[in-house]
Amino acid sequence: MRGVIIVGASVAGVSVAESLREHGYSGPIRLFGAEGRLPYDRPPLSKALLRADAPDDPPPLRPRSWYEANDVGLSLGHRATGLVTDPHGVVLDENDLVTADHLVVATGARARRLPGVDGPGVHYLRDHDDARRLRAALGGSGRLVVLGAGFIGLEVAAAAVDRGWQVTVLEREPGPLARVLGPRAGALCVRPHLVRGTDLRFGAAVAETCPEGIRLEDGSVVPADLVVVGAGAVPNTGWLSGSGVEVSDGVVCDAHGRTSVPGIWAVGDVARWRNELTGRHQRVEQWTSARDQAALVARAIATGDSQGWATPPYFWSDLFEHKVQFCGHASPDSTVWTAQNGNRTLALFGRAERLEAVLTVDAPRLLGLGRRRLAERGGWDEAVAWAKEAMA
Amino acid sequence: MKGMTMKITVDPARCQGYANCVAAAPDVFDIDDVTGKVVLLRTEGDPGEIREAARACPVAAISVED
Repeated sequence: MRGVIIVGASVAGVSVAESLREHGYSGPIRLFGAEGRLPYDRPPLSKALLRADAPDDPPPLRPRSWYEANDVGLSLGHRATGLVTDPHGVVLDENDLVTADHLVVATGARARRLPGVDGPGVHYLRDHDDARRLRAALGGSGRLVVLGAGFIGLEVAAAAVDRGWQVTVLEREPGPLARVLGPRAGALCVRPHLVRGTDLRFGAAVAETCPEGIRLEDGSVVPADLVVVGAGAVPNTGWLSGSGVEVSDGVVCDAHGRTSVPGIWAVGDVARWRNELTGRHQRVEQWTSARDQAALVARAIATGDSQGWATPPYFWSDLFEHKVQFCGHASPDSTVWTAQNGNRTLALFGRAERLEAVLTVDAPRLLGLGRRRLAERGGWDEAVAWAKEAMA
Repeated sequence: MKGMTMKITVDPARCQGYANCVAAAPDVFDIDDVTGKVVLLRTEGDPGEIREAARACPVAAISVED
């Protein structure tokens, strides 16, 4: 038995190893990570780790002793540069070949670079070294321009406002969070920013960096001492080229995590799974989905009993002291129902008589109950009736 | 097995209000809307749901003993 190789040691990869042992898998497990540090959680990188008093090292996903206790061979600081099949194996650092019965691709994604946006004052945020550099840069003060009003951009903007920066957010789309929430619901999430004086500009097309800051396509200049780009992520699939594993905006997977090559699986940000509940076939760059996918693949490898992915994608965001939580998939043409009561905000997204997604601000219990309705394929009318009562 | 007694411990100090527990076992776990922290509603429930709630917690704020 050659065992399982997991390529990529973030939450998806580590969760596969953990779940394999939970399902009684007794073969060798080897976990390879490109970064030199013990695997850690990424969500805090754009939140708590940007605070002035943040610890220098991110909290590890599992202590080093966990890998020994579970007989998981952890190799850090090795980059996967190629994949071979039959027997399945990974080429590390263009040199060493390691083979296995099953290979799980969990190499994640990297920050999308914007052409024309570069220079010493420009930061991207993906790994802990990025976060540490940005945290140090935020030790000064001045004008920060954030490019992109997605969750990463809005979280960084909030952290910078808290540290005394004057912050402008430039977004090409007509509203915030449009890629995830569709055109209508993003405004519900940015109120904390408006209260704190963040300058949010939509429909702003960035051309390039210039000595004064950022130049827009209309020629105007937004002054900046520091720039942070939050323009989404690109899956790390370059090392798979020529391997026979089908790649098209991520590793193409079915609802079980199987790639086009038997015995090769993919999970997390790098993978494009089909979701049996939502019917979507798209990459979902979310912590909970990475965990769900890892558990399904581990179960299939360990027991031979394969189940399809049928849980709604879920994520959270922290903006100042406010908690934004979203579950499901919003469509551009979803019906959106919203209500507010005190500090709590609830929005439901529906289409074709079905509940599609739930958004809350500072109402975690309602998010949890809404998620359950989504998982049970709840209807739209019942959901609205529930929401009216819950928010009364 | 429904209603079998297990020892459930929650740690509100660790809780970050992710609400994974409410989705998994809404009869047992709640999140207080004011504090944003986990609250134990009952000390028993569906063992499968309770275990899933503990497993799904990103900050391991729930522990379960049989």
